[in-house]
Amino acid sequence: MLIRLIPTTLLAFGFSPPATAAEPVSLTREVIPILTKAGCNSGTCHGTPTGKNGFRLSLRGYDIALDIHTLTREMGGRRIDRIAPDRSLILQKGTALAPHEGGRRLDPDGDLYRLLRDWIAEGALDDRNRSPRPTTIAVTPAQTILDAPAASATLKVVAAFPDGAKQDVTHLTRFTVNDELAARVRADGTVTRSRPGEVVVTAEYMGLMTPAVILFRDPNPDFRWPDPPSQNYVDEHVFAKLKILRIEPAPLCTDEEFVRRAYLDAIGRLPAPADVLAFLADKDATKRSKLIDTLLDQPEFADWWALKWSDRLGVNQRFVGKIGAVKYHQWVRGAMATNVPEDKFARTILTAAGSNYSNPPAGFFRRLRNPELRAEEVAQLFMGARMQCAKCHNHPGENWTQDDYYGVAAFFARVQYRDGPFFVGIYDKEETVLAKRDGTLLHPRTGLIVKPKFPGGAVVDVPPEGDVRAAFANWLTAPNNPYFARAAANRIWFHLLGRGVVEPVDDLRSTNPPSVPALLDALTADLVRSGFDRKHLIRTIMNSRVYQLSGRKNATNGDDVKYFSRQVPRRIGAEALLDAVCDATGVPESFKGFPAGTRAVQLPDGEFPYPFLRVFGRPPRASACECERETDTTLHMALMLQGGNFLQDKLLAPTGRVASLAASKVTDREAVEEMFLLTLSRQPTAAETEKLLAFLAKEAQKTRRQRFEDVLHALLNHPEFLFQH
Amino acid sequence: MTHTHHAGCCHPILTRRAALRAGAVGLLGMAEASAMRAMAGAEKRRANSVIFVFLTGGLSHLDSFDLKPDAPDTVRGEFKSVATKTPGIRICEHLPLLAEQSDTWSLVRSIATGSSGHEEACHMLLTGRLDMPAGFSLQNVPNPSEWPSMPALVNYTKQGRGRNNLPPAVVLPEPSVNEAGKVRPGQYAGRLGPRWEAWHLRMATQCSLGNGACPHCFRFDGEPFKHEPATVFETPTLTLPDGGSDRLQDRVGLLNKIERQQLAIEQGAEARLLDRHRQQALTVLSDPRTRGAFEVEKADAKTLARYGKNKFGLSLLMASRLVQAGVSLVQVNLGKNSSWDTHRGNFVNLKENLFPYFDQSVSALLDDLKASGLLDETLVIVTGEFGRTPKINNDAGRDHWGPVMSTLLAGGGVQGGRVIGATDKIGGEPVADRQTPENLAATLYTRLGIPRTAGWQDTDGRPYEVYRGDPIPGLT
Repeated sequence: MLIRLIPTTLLAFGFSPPATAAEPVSLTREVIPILTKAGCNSGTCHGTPTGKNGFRLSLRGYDIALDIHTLTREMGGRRIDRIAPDRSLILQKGTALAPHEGGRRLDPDGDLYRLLRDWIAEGALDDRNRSPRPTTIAVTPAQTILDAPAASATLKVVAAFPDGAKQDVTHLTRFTVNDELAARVRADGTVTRSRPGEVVVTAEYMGLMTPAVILFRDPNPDFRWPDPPSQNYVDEHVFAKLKILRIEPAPLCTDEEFVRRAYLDAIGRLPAPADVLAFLADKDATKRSKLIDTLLDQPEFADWWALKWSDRLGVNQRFVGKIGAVKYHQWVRGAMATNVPEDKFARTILTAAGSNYSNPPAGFFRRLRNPELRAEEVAQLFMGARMQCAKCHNHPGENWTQDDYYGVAAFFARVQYRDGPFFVGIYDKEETVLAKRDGTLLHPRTGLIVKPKFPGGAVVDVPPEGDVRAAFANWLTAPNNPYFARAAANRIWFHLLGRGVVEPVDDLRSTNPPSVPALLDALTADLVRSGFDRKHLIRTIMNSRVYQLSGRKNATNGDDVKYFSRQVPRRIGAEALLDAVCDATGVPESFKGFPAGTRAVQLPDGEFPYPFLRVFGRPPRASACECERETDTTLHMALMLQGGNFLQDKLLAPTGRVASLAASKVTDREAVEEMFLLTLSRQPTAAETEKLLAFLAKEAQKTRRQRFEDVLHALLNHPEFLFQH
Repeated sequence: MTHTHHAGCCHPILTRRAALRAGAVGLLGMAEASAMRAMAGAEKRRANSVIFVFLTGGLSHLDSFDLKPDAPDTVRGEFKSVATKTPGIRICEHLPLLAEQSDTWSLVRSIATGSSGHEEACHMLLTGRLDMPAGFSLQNVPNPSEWPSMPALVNYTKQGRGRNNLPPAVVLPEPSVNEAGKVRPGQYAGRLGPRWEAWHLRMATQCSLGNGACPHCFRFDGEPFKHEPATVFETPTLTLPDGGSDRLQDRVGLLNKIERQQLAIEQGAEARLLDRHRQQALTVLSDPRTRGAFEVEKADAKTLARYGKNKFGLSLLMASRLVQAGVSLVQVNLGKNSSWDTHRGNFVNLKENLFPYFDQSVSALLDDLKASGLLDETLVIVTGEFGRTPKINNDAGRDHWGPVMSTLLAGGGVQGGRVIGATDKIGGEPVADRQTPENLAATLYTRLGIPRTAGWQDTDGRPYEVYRGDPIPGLT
């Protein structure tokens, strides 16, 4: 091994010192990692594709050939001065002795500076071809709990080389922490807390990354784990984590909270007042489980979960044609209604061919016009892997390489298209997706034909006959595939709890670990064991106590949004919210071209023009990313709910709820109760009733009907109506 | 607990929810945040604003601000160049009101995009970037892979909080679409995520053509066209219930009474965001100043006469009022994307259907800003997405021309009576001081006090800088 070690590290590590004095500094194993550690080649600095102020480095040093050329040949060689190393521009600028927009990145008295200077003084040697690359790096401790007053941990990083040698590379490792408000990490690997919490520190050396998870806790002698009962394995894993974190979970939600939550999550609609009252009146101790079973068998279950898949699969007229969108949606909905297992569903899509009006899943490929895009979307959708970065450079947050990227793309390089058979015009046509037996992809860097290769795995020999996509689909959906079931389980959890165990939901990688690792493992195993049964997993999760926790905060869970210690409110999505407003006001929407009674969640085409859906953030369905759906509130939304004709027309409609309530014989108190059940799915509290009755009594200049309009308007703007909780 | 996810790489992943919690500090870094605070302090003294007037479709520079009277017949065109108030600056004879105000504005005659396609060029102008984003598509528009528009970035850098409880950036009166309703790229938040979308009004009435200054809308083939709707604008989302803003206040007051602030849901960041937007909405709906801005058709006769009671005049009147009310950036799409796209009948349509309303409305805007003392702090930019071909085509039209165009700037510290850059003898290429949309964007951002170091992150957490160029020198 040729790494020159800093003496203290060396002693601590107990290696016999190599001939440090004689060994030249390594470009590959020292200089480039130093540029990475100092941030010189980061995406915002010289690592950006256009460089900065005429100086461009490869992002995180993935292309050393480019970097050595840039360092030694450009600028008339002024960046490196072999005669007077300290005059080298990279040292002058790096230490901010010469003006440098990026500030001081190197300590002129530090070891990194010394290594760089020595490398220059030794002639700026290029050892690319003889320097070994490490196979793995390991960080210790990889997992640790620190109780105050202990406030810092020191990480050590060891690289393992193919010849079995191990080297401490802590001083050459770049450390980043995922939450800079909770803890800081110094260049030497010391992590110091700013406040209690769990942080992930990523160690990066020579393109390899590995995480360390550190939990900083405060002593809390008053904390008593309440030991809530577990309904199933979900609770066991989440509660085990919460116990370690010393977070007390919220209590079980009330029946009123549960019935609203279960309806919205399972079938995407509010319970009718009669549903709420019946559920509240039911004395059966197992009534929550019974309700879950009932909901999962409703036809609305298929509508609701088909909407989620349609978002990700590009069910839009601009991609699959007007008729194609309807047929594609019907196909997805059918799969949800008959509970086609997740693996079979994915295989069918990935190997779909033929005309997309007669075989709708072939429409999946219509949006994805080239192999690269197909690789990115397939990876994100079915592996929870964001490989986009690896198209241009090795992924800076993960161990995906450019070869992995093009290896996946090569599986999808033989898809071609033919217009028709049904053809109206360029924007309204059917296409036939052809899975050809030939067709190759060239690697942009090497210019060579890329062979299909499983990500992080083997190159596949493609038989001359047969659809190469099937090889990928079979690999992907094999029960032991490390990505597929995990991504699917995480996504189902995300849709029920509002947040993935890994978040973002489709960004699974070692440096973005799950908040409750054992939970994701167990969900994944359960999904595989059940034969990829979506409904089974939904049922299991909804029956857990964790799913049924209330949103109430206590002394320890108030800040938690990621360990599932309480229900975190989230705004109801565009389609379900439109349906909820229609149900509450008793005035349905009519969607042009669709039969009366069609609900917004049933609309097949993501581009069906509808102002409410646009304003409330319906996803454009242009990519598989769940992030497309807008979940925040905006000024547009507030305007549409407060002013404007949309809500006003519903309140004024002669056939609507306000009109019928005002014309009926119900008392004000009964009317208030009814309007609460219609919107918030619960009875008003005594205090709320009192305030509303006072309002109704006071506003004498208005008609009864106008007063009811005001009450319903206020309730439809109430956060408890707009949010799922 | 942690809300920020640094991917341990160059792509610090910040969820939108986390972004919301982190606020300006987390997003821009401490240095930038304190710079922003300093700017915010400065804003109290100078409320800087920008009105960005987009001549969507591509104004012919050769027939407006960069005439070539000595060029051959095939290039010169029908219009004469006339002297302005400023010696040495000559513009088109059909812009007499602007000519009288030449001491107020300056021209940049050398802005180049290099792209002669509407889609690319609109994307460049509206996002202030020349590079096309990965995944850019001519068909799939709008598309979340587009770069964020300048209004979206301004909204982001101001963290959605404008002055006087108003949104920081507004786009009006309708998106840039062509006659067929096809949306031009670069107008939306794109990679920045929909959370930072500027406030896009869609208030132009449903005119089946909408080309030009409704109700004076026109067809390029010269066929007569009658604007059907009785109004130029309609404001369906801004109507108040019977009983007006008092009734709305009643409802909001009632809601405030029954909101249970002790509940987790109402303490959450999401509900606080909702609350902020509700208050902004309430301001927009019931504040007389903003209502006045949206009800421009009811403005007094004298004002209407000065601006012109048409889509151009009313849009710029609205912009002027919104800036006065406190909006930082107003983008005005002056017509549809086809309006200035004079492939046919360039001269007759400019002369009869476009320039009269353009000249009147822009000069009224400058007059108003000057009279109200707002001109010093309000930068007005007037530009298309490209120029038009030197060579006149067989339909007496000019086609798309990416190599160069002319842009007018006024106010906000811009010294009037200057010309930056120049083109060759036929107005085909810049020969001096070549400028880009990136520099134009930098001019705009600088005016709004956005620090040079400001950055943003896309929805995947990749970091980018707001500035892609330097402010155009020589204007201030």
